[in-house]
Amino acid sequence: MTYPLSSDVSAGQPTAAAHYNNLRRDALYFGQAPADSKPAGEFFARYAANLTVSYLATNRLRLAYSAYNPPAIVIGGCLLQAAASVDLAAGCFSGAAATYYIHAIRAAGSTSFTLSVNTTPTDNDTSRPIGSCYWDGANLSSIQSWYGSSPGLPAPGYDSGWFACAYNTTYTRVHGLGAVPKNHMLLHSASSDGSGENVLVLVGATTGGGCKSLVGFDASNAYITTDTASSGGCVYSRRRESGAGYYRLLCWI
Amino acid sequence: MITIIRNPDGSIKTWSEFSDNAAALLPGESLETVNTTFNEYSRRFTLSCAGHSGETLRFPCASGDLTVEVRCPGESTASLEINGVVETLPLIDGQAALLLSTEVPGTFVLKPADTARYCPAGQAILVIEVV
Repeated sequence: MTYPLSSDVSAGQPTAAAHYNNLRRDALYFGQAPADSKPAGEFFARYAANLTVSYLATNRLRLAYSAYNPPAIVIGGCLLQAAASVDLAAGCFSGAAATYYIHAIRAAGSTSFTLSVNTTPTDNDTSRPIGSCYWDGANLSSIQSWYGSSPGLPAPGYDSGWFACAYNTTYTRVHGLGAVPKNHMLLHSASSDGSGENVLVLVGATTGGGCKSLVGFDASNAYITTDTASSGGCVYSRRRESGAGYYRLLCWI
Repeated sequence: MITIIRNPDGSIKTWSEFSDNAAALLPGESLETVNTTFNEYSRRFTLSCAGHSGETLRFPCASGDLTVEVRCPGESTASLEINGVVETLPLIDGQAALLLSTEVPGTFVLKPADTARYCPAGQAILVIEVV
């Protein structure tokens, strides 16, 4: 397939219909037949990149600017790019606990965009949702970037910190995420400062043999019931067995 | 600042690095805050053997006596519950050593006897299996 289809026109050369049509096909279809390629405007209509939303004190949000990876998004067919960090105005969260959707907002006469939040993910010619966060009535948590540039796992929405554990005990931790977490990690440490190896807890050992998983969730709490064996009720792994030590629970929503 | 959760009988159930929410309590449990660090509170009563604590240890039968190190800084005695039997040890500089025999296969479960003062969790429980 030839690309581009269009070619230079010499000074004084009449511009033929083929010139115009090739140029148009290059612009709209990257030189391909309309039957084989979506128009560029449609193809990029849902484009969004480098939109990593982070927490900004107090109870605000920031979309950080990078000259190498500038925040960019197409809204209503307009190609928008931020030239500096975009901050959510103060006082946008109030009232009862709820999941808020973070929107990029286009305004006429601007090639950049602003941020707003709403409890509904409105998507129209001037607004596109780019993430979400959870407002517990006083604080923000669980900030999710749908088009972020950060590789790897985002920061957890809940981190219990270390707490002491023992076999045959139920621990309730208030994660406050407003929904059952989509993912979690329960770590075990033999030392109080979490130094040394952190072992992933999947099961605990049962008195008399066998093992059982330990963790459950609802929209508010995490429940960890350690198993009954003094030797492995808290963690039962090829890496470590223990009926005591320290747990740290991380949750993502 | 750390938080402590007590069981309905007054014994300490756990202590936490971050502040616990009262909503985390089960019926009868109570919440306290203590102005100290998590590490400092964790070192109030620790049991270790061969340099290990907070995990189950296994030793072969007839491999000689084991030395369990008891650390209870600032105290002159420490009461341990060893397989349900309470034994009080004199401490020197907040430390004592306890010998356990490996002549007979079995499990030693050691923890503080005064659970209203010291939480039987973290590094205050030591399980040693002689196999």
